[in-house]
Amino acid sequence: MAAVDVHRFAESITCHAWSPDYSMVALCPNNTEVHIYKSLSQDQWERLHVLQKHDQIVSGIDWSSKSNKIVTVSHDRNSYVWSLEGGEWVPTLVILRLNRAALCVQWSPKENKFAVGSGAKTVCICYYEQENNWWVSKLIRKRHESSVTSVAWHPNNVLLATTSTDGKCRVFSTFIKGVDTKDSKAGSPAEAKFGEQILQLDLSYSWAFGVKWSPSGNTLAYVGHSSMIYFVDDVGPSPLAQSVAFRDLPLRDVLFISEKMVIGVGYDSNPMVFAADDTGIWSFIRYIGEKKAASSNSSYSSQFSEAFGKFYGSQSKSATANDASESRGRVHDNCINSIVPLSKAGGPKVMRFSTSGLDGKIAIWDLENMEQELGNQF
Amino acid sequence: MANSLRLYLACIKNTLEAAMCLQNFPCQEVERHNKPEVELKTSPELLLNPVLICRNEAEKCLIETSINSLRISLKVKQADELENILTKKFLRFLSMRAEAFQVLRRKPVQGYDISFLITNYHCEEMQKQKLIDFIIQFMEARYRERNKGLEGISEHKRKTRCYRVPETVHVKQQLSKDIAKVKDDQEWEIIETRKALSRTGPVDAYKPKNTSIEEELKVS
Repeated sequence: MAAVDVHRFAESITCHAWSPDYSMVALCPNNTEVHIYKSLSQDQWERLHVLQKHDQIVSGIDWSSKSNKIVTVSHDRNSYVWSLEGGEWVPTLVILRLNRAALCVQWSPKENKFAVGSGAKTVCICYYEQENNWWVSKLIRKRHESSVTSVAWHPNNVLLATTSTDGKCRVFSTFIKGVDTKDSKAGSPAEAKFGEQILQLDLSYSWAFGVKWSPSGNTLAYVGHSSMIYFVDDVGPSPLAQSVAFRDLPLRDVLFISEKMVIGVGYDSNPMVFAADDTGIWSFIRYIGEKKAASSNSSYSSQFSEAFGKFYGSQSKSATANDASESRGRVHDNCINSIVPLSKAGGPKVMRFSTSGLDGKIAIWDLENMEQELGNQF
Repeated sequence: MANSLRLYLACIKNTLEAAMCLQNFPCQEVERHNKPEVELKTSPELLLNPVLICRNEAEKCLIETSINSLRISLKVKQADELENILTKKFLRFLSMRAEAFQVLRRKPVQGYDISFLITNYHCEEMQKQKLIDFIIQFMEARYRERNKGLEGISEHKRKTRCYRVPETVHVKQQLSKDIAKVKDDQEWEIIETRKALSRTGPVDAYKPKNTSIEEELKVS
């Protein structure tokens, strides 16, 4: 088992983010608050702060690694940037100009901007205005036909990929004069002006979620609700796309471990590994959690409990026994909705990552001891 | 019959497992609202294709899914007036207690007898597997309940049929009583005669055999 640490923080967790040194975690326990926990020792966590400012459920958290700022977005249409001043987290209002819920947020790699996806079918690119001491936003309007479910920054700090419930994945340029400098637009597609659509991918028949760039920014991965994962190489005028279908429940989020390997998490509550072979063909490799053992276990126990149930004539009894055994083999027992890397951005490989889900657990996974099992696919 | 029911339920169960992938999703049309999309149907792109599972014309199950909610509507078999009444009573009993069931919709979808509404909040609070089991067990229970109800009524019918013509019963009883009496009387007579016989006996009832000692010795 590759899960090193599993801790249950709340009934349900909507999203989580790690501090720059990975000693603290900010999470939303499925309500209007954001809790910050500090790790004391193995499985010992202490709650340090509670950030209360939102008045509806917090849908996204991101903690910047260089400037140590937390950005939160909520269904109440607002967003705050929190900075640590004298042991207290102080919020700064962000002028989002949204009239619908904000759904997702991510800091740009240089941390001078962040992107917010919203239910108003827009994406807000926010940047700091020194004169007014607040964060203002520029909107990408009339590009999405439905809510924006996920945003991801390209390592060049200009390109932004989005997924939406209209099933499309789009790539935009977010070059803002005065914020981005000329030298940052090294690649050819980055020369476009703000809000210009570089690419629109119409691969999915259903809603699209969880877009991510590979560490180098060459490959883009996102998932569709029809149990599909899509990989796009050569993002630009002539992209190369691959669709991989798998037999289990759909995914919600993905994470690039390396250029050739992706971890997907979702409704199956068990992380999946996808990898590309030497020719660049992506395929499903295996589950990380021990699903095999659990399933054989459950079939035995269900047979047993069925017989047992016959004795007592109780069907509920057999059902509960079955459930318990099924969830025993897994780390999470409800939908996993976010996966966050536990290593510096820009590194070639991510060896540790954490997952959080509706079961209220945060699991930390280590691939160090998985390397042999995963073999040369790294 | 029982086998086809199992297949029907298994099909519903598998469909529910695939369909119950819900998430918290705020309303796109109304500010600061979060409502089941399957009920509002404001944004067609947030709805999935509904699945209709039919066992036969009279029994079907419609599963409608949206991004944050799922609606299951059941139509149950009503072969005759009697079953119709039974189903109505049973479902009325349940829908009056809809709060206790949480996932039960107060009013069924048009054309169906009973509807469940499962939202992402139910999936957060409860285990998905248990929710599905609840629906399946509910359906099984309904079939059991229906059969029990029918049995009970047919038994009741059988009982009441006897009372429908009390006169005949009375006559029958009277008759059987009379017969018994006659029987008794006759028996009494027979016993009496036997007793009388044993007491007095016929004149030549006892006839001892005349045997000599020689004959007895020969035999031995």
